[in-house]
Amino acid sequence: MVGTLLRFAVLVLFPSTGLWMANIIGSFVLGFVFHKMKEVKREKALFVTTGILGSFTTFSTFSGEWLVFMENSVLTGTLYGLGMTITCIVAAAGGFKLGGGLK
Amino acid sequence: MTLLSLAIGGMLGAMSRYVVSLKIQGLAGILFINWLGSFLMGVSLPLALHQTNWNLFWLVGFLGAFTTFSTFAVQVVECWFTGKRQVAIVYALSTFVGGYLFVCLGWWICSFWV
Repeated sequence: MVGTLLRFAVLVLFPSTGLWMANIIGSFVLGFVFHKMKEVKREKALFVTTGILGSFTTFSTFSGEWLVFMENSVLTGTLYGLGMTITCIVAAAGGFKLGGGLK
Repeated sequence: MTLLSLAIGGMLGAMSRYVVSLKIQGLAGILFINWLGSFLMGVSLPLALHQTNWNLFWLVGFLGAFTTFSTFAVQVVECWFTGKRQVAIVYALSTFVGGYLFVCLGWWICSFWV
């Protein structure tokens, strides 16, 4: 609920880049807290990871937009799909490394 | 009503994701969720014409919260850094290609009716 409302706020404030911001920030933060979440209670970890960050980011809106981009231009669509996937994985990796990762 | 539709949709979406991820644990659960969510998005998009409360509840709320990008990205990173690099690549590619194919499939099936 909190994650969904935050995502909506970002989408309303930044209509064209909001989805990118939500997915990149969410992936980075989830990577960053990965290590810390092993030390807190299960309920608290679930609230932050599965709850807020899981709902803040979204895959279905991305695949829906991707479909629309592909209908217009295969090149733009492919760049959009690859761009989002790679950027979010890199953001998650950055957060993972900064937050202590596997230590 | 706008925020209420969103909040309820988001809450139900996140809870459904949690339930599915308990039934199908690990990478397969999130892969299934993102594929199913993309398929449902493909089915729903041709039907979504106006910015109604239903769209906010279903598309932005439920499907938005049911599917997730952050868990997917972190799972790929975790596999990569624990030495399971092949698993990381196969999982990332499956989500990527499958996500697109399922949204297309949903859209294609729905286009017979709309």
